[in-house]
Amino acid sequence: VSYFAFVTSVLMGVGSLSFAYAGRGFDLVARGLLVLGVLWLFAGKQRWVWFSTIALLISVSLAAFGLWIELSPGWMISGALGALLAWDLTDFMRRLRFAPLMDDLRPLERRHLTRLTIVTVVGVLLASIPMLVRLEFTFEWIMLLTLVAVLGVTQLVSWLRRR
Amino acid sequence: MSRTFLLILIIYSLLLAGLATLNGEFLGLALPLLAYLLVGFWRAPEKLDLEVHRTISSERAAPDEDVVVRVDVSNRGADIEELLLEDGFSRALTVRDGSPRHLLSLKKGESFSWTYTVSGPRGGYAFEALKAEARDHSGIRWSSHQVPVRNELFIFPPLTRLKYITIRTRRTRVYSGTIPARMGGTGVEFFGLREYQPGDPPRWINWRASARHDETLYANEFQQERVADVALVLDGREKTNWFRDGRSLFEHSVLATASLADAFLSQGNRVGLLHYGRYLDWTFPGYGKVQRERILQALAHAQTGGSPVFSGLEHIPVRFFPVHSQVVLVSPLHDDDLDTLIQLRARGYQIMVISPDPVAFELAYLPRVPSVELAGRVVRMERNLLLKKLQRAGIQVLDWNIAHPFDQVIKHRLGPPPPLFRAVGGRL
Repeated sequence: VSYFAFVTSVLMGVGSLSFAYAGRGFDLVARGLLVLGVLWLFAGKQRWVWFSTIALLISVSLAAFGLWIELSPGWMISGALGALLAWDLTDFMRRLRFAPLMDDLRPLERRHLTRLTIVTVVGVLLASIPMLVRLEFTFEWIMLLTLVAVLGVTQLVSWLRRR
Repeated sequence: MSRTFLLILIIYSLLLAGLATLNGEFLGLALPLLAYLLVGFWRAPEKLDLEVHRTISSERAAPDEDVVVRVDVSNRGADIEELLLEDGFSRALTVRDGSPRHLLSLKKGESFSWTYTVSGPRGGYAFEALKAEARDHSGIRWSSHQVPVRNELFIFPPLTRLKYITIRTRRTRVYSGTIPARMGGTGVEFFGLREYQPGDPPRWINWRASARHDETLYANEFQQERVADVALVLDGREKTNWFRDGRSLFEHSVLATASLADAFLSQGNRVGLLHYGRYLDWTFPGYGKVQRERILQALAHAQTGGSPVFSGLEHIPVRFFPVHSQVVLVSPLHDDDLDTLIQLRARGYQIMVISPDPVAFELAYLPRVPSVELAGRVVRMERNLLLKKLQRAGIQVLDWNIAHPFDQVIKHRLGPPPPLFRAVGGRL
């Protein structure tokens, strides 16, 4: 079940991005994304967990770039979400491999997929808000967000140094 | 790269990109990732509170015997979405059935039990802690905990029951046993005659001898049988035990030592064990079943060692052995050991050498070609010469070809003498 969900997520992520890029005439990027999808599926089969991280970074970067060049936001969010789900499922399948064959993992898989579906729905709803409500970035908003970003990055750096 | 770090990095990059381009849609892209991350933190596992019991079907087993391990885990803390349990034991043990590892979901107050079967070679194995790792479903946060539950499994060397081993020490202990003490008194075997003393049982009176003397009664004296001190020395030196292609005689030496210890203790003797090899491992002498257990535990842990300090037998600490006691060395022997053994004999110890035959052992694995046979003959002659020299020094030597069962060899060479020879006080 998890592998089927993983394949669906990869297809959803890579397919959405590829479709949007191809629609705008970026055939090379679209083909590159399809190659990435094939490699991702192959890596999933080969249990190369590290590849999922690279594929997630590439997919989110291309989704962000797509937003910047004003491709359809729906496809971009769908692409990023698909990549996130595939990345999550890769790690989940890695953890499942620790279990011996005799363990009944179906309840565990069912609960995981249910949780993932809820998170996806919530994520889509949250992502739709800025798409539907076009907010103007006033100077105060920019300052506030910059402050939050700087504080966040500082916290992140201090956390990493503590580790 | 940690999953949390990766997600935070992406979220902040999108946030910064949104600020740089003044595009709110970047925030929209970051929100699903943020939701995923926050759910991970929200559902992060709390501190684990597990109660673990482990039971082992048998704490003492024979090599390659199946031992069933049962583990019971109860969750006394909060619900755990994903819990990986892994029982910790030595890698030398082989899992024959089941699995020591399980992945499950455990709610508050729930319990989970499982069994698995292990087996292994001779040794002492500790089952240490149960490793528990709890995660939320996203795997963002986890909590790892080692629950200490200690069990021990001893896989003892295979034991061959020996009925009786004849030893004659120059000094015995005060307790009655089976070893002739070379002293008159109560016993079974005839020892001599002495004048009848009041209190002697009338059936001890030797009427024939008394008839030859006027007014004097003579009584039979019997040889007292007592227990003795026996020191077993197990040679664990690599240079004497290991041969080409990783073959070793050590397991045979351990088997012989275990069987001898069992037999000597069954006869009521006080037995100690010295494992001589990597270091000195001395099991203090004692009697009975407790001592048997101690010696078997020491033998379960016994390994060969290549310490340069103990490469020769000259560092055997003779002060450990009571004066004039019986010393039994179990060793394939090396040419350099001759002088040390003769010196030990000269100090008054009764020495017995049980020597698994290394020549026959090695030849059994070599091709039967003329050069090998010639080399075998030369080495055989050298070994025979060594054994002859030991025998001439008054050392009892038992050359054991391991192709023959140990108990049969012992019965033939060191078993009780036939009644005919017993009457004349010994064996040929």
